[in-house]
Amino acid sequence: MRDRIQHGIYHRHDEKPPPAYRLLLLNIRRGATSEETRRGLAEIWNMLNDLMEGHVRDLQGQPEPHLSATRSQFSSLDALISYGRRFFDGGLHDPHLSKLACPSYLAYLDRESPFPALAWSPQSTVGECDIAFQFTAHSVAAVNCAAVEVWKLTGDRGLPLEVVATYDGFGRVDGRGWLEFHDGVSNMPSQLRTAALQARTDPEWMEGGTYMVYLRIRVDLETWRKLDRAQQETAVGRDKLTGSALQSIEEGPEGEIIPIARPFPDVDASPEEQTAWRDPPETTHPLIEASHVHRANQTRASPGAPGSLRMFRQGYEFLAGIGPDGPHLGLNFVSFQRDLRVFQHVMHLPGWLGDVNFGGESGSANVTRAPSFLTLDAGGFYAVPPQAQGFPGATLFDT
Amino acid sequence: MPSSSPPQRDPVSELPAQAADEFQTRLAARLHQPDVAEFDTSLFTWPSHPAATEYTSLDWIAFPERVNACLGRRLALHLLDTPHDVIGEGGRSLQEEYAEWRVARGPGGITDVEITIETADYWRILAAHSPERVVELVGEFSSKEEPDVSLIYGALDPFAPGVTVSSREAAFADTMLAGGRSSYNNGAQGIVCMVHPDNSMTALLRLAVAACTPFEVTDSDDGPFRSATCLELAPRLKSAAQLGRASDPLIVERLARLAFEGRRVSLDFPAPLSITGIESSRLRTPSGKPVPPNWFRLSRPMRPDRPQAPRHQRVSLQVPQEERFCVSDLTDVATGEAVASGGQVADLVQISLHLLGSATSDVHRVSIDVSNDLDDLDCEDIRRKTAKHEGVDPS
Repeated sequence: MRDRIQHGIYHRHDEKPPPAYRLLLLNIRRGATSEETRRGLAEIWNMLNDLMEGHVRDLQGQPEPHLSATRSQFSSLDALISYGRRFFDGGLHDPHLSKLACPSYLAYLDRESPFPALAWSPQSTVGECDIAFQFTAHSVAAVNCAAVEVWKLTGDRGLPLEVVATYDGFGRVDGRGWLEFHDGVSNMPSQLRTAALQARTDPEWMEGGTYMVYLRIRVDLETWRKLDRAQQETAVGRDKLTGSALQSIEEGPEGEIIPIARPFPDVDASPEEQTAWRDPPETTHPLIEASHVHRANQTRASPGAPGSLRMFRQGYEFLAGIGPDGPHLGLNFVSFQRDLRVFQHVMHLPGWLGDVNFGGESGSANVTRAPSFLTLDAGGFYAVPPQAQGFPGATLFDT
Repeated sequence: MPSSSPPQRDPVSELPAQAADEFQTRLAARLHQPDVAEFDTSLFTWPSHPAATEYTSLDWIAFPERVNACLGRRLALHLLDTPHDVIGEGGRSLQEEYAEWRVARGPGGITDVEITIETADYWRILAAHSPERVVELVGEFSSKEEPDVSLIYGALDPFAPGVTVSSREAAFADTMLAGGRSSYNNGAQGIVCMVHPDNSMTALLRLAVAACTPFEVTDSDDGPFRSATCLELAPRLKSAAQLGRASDPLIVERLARLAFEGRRVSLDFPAPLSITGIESSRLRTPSGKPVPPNWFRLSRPMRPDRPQAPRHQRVSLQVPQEERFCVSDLTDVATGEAVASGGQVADLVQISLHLLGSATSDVHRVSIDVSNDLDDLDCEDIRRKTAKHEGVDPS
């Protein structure tokens, strides 16, 4: 199948996600017709394409070299359009916005209990909407400006869309997250990613597209930092400094756990050693099996095996503020997969992430062995149709 | 039913010791049959090698992934539940993930979904050696105090003096398995064991042996070296595995990887397959409350000697009578849909394959050239089986 996945998903060879991220959530005004919505989205999409070429609506006629500076500002901007469960909700949109079928697993997150081991935070807020735009770029200014340009356009042109929320994020060049561990080490080689990403027919309009999971996960850093390094490494399943996978766990004289990681390869390492640090032999140690990296990828199989439940993760950290009670921070968990069913299984299956908050032994009374420090601030599932004439998803509005 | 002193039982199963031995012998002999012996059998051992002491497992979902991908979800769910005797059109012939089910419906909708992963290979032995136990179990599964023995053994009286074990096995197979499928095993009154030919120990052994070959792939001149993927191995498996399923490709990749690591591998007998997890957290009652996990009743533990890991072979979902609603009134939050089919329940059930392996060792690996152009989904047989339903709107 030809790769028609939208830009903004950095799965192709040699692509890396740029560090700036913003998600913009929009709802379609009640009573808006399908045609009005289609025209509105087409205008937004055209405006964003102009923006990527450096054309800002308020700066028409801008002379060189200013135009060149603006062009440079937005040259790395990618915009991705996606459709949430709400878009297909006939109870909210009368008349229906589309005659086409809603994908089966494009569901609302449960308001009481989204996942068995990941609860809503007390501060939870909106994450579901009709249309979500993802903006990524090398500069924060580009993604922020893109979001505001959408807001300006909807107001200026009276488009039937209104902004309901926006979330930002950033990536670190050292590849680490707030837990200070490397993230993304287990992501797939580029040649396998399309198989994990690309949706088949059912519904047909999604063929060649993909599905996005967005979860804004709050991290209780204070709780995490109470764990010592060995406890953290056991929960994650990797060495904190090198990112090497754990290969065994020993017990010290006081009964303390001592994680043993694969040696980090030096420059003279053989190709096999180069591979083994990130992809070690099958483990049989129950504590390593219970670690986060194993739970999130229990099968370690290629995405060509549909039961492998592989997803392509492209997350961004966030810092929402620091107050007297400490920082409000976390991870914009963003994953793309060919079917949302994959993600549901990962989050509900015991032995995967259905029975622990992050990693560790399920049901352990010892909190250091199964730390709980993640809650959900916001989240939603989105269909990301393939690139198409007009804009991705334009066929949804065909009459 | 005549009573007799019970024969000596195998310590870890319900089989008489002699039957357990015969089961092992039969499976060992399977490795020497031509369609298995054509593969390199050096790393796969049966019974397990003394050095194979490290335990590992892999799991998949009971819902037939390939059928879903080939037919689309709505038609797949519809055909997967079609009754019962019409092998070749739907129902059990499409239930191909080492799990088969029946759906019981009442006036208000689905009252019970029963899923079994028990193999016909095992039940043949049980039927041959323990007719009392078979009748007892069939009665339990069909809620009949005195099940009709003729619907289990046909015209043969399995308790008659002089009846041989082989005649009992043959009578059972003719009546209950693919050739006959009595109502005790076709879903009408009950389900006893799997009947799809690929959901068998004989097929699983062939798949395991075929996959357990130390191939290596080199992505470039300087590596890295890695174990092959299921797509890369497919041309070498000679139809022992079916791409597009949830189970087979995973089994292939795990065994290939263990072989790549130079391990001797075996299935963890006597119950290499078991039901290990249920996504009960996805279901909600009509009032929006989570479904209590114990509404899923696990049964048929094959390792009663290990209460921590009992290896259940069977699960059923029923709503307790006092609740005054039924399975059809439950909602799956992952889809937002009411449970209208057995396939939706199968989508909540995790099956595991349990393996034993020796420590890693140096092994001579065969380097293979790979192409990334292989198709991972073959729908031909499914489309053939379901051709007459093409274009049918299951609603």
